[in-house]
Amino acid sequence: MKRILLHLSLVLSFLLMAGMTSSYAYASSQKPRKEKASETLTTVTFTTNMHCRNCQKKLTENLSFMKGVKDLEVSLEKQEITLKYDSRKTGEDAFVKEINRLGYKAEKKADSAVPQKVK
Amino acid sequence: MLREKPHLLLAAGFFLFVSSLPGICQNADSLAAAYSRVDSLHSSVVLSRRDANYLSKGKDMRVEVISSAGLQKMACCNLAESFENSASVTVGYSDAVTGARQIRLLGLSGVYTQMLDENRPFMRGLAAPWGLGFVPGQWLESIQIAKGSPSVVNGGESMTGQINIEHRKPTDEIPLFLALNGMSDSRMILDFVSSFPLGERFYTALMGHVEGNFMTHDMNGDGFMDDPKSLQFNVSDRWLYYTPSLQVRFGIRALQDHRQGGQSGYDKVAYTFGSTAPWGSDVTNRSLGAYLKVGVPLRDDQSSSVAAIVDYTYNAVDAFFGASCLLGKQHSAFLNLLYRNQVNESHDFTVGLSATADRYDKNILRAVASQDVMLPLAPSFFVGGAYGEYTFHSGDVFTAILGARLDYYGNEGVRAVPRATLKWQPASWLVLRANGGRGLRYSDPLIDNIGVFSTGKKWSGDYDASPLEKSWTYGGNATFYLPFGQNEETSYVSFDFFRCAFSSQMVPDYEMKAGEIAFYVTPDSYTNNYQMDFSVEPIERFTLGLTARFTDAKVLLKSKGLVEKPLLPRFKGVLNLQYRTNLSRWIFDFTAALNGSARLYDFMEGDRSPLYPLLYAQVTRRFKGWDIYIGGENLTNFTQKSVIQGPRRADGSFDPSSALFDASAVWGPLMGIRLDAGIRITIWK
Repeated sequence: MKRILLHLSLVLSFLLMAGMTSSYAYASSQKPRKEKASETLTTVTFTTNMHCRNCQKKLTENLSFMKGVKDLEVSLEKQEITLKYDSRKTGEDAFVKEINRLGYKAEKKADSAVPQKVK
Repeated sequence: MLREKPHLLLAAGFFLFVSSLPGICQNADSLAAAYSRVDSLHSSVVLSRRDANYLSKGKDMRVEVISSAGLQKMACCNLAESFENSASVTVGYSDAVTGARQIRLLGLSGVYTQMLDENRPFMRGLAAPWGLGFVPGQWLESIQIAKGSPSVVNGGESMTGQINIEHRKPTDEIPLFLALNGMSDSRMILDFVSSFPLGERFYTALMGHVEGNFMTHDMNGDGFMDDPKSLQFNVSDRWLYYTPSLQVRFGIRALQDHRQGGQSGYDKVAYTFGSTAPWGSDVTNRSLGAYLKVGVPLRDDQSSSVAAIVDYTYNAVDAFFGASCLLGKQHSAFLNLLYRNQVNESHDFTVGLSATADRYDKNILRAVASQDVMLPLAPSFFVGGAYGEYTFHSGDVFTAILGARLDYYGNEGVRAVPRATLKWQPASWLVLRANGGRGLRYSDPLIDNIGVFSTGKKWSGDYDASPLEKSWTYGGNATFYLPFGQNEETSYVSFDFFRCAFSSQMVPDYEMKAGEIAFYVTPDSYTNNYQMDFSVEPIERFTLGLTARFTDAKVLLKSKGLVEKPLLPRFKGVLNLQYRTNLSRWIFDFTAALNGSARLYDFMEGDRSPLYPLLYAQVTRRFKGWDIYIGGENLTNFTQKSVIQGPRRADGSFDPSSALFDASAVWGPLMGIRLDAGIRITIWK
């Protein structure tokens, strides 16, 4: 009997945790996102010529460690690389140079350099 | 600050936990080399997305994927350890002596799961008992676990599902990958992988693995080493030749593994039955393998192709258990010729011929208290035939796969293996799957239950026969994608049910008579497996996965009637938590598994094993080109008490010469807490 109660309580604990997490996630998704303290961040998108997932992985692993990079999306489907960076620390030329060094083309998408906030 | 960055609060809760590398690339090397590089263009890597373990939405069957991130979540140094945080697959030990690992899928032994190496069957026969330790985790790119009755293309042996491993690819453009890992129990591992092109059309990946365990530990004080001393050398070279009109993959592999377990000081040459010298096991595995896959597209759009797959493996085992031994050699060959035609967007079919052939040369000496026999066994098996598989797609909404094989099974004659899979996605948030089919495999009672060698018990019955085991497996899955979380594709709750019922299964009955293991075919044995999976990324870069599985497994034993299968936990729950800082510079991983109780053999103390937890944790710090990690497993230091069964001598030590001696009744962990640290270096081209 004790064992059954223990099993039940453990299962219920798991379910409770799952339920609480889901509720929090759902509630979070309903609230408007609080904007973070402003930083000087610019977003730029390049079109490139990846041909497989390895290319995607190679670009991700190398670009993410560049100085000033804050966020990165590498899309094999769209053939695009989108970087969010601190314009005080790096710039588009550095990204183009690095992408070319890795063996890929980098053509800036028109109107893609979007500064977001000024600190 | 914490209010603005709540994730830091969560991260603080996982201080000093180890984490994993990024990367979820999954290049499925599927059945036809002509279209084997399924480098789907339909993928987008967002740096915040690191799906270590997930259910694949696109697959027609219920497939759990362990990505490269999942493989590096814990100190998973080989294939067995990579399943530690999967609730679908349970990992355990076959016995307390040899270090042989076994898995369970749908509550059944891993011998009923077809293991595929990029869609080529492997880990069969003599390679099965220790094979999970012969696949280095660092060589792998991903693992796909398909539950149920999978495709007929690779044969009819699978009964509970298929596990397909994908190695790192020759086209990876990583001239050097190095991984070094050290564990607190003295185990050291070195891996290297080098992938590079040779000219415009040739690519190769050279892989090496060296592993050793140099010290003995007996944390539970039973006089037997918890983990055997070992030394393994493992090399592999995989090649790709690629043009738009031809794709050829081939490779070779060589392995030597030696392990010595049991009581410290065991000498396989000097030991004689009945002596008081240390008893133990001494196992040496050697293996050589080669494969060739050729694919030729017949149309420019690759909608039609032919392919040929050939695989050869030689395994040799010299295994000593006290005064008994198993000396075995195995030659195995696999051939698959197939033709695939995608008629249009709705209709697709594959037909082919395939065969497996195995030739064994086994010499078994059983020298125990109540049995002294020499068994020379040289069986040969040939299973070959034709198959066809038809797939109907109605867009992305509905898929039906109907397949069947007709194979010649030697003395058993011609047998049919039908299988079917249905997938229905009536809405973007709901996927329903149903699957069923037959499974047939030749059993090898002694090799399938290698733990029987680590006993002093008499073998009786059909232990030297190889009857055909027959089963029907069916079940389904319902996955609901949830409208919240940071990533819609990995926010889901999923429910599974699968039943695998045998009409003929070889079983070892440990409870027929004291001091004896009876082997016979039972006409009634089944498992009903229920599983729930929940996954969500509630806040950015924090993922939660929760799985609960209930297994109702019964077997008809001559000794007891229809009873619960012994040593199989009825319940398992797994909680996976991961947090990554921005750009995954730091990754924190935590896994908690709760294992339910299992029925114990009647010669063991108590009726049921206790509920027990297993905790794993890892912290990784990533830099450009390299990362370091520290971690721990079994953090609560839980181990199975009374692993060794049998009478003791006057000095308190166990008597391995007794007919009641048994070191195979393992239901829980043998090793206590272990810490590890390592470094991985990746040099990109």
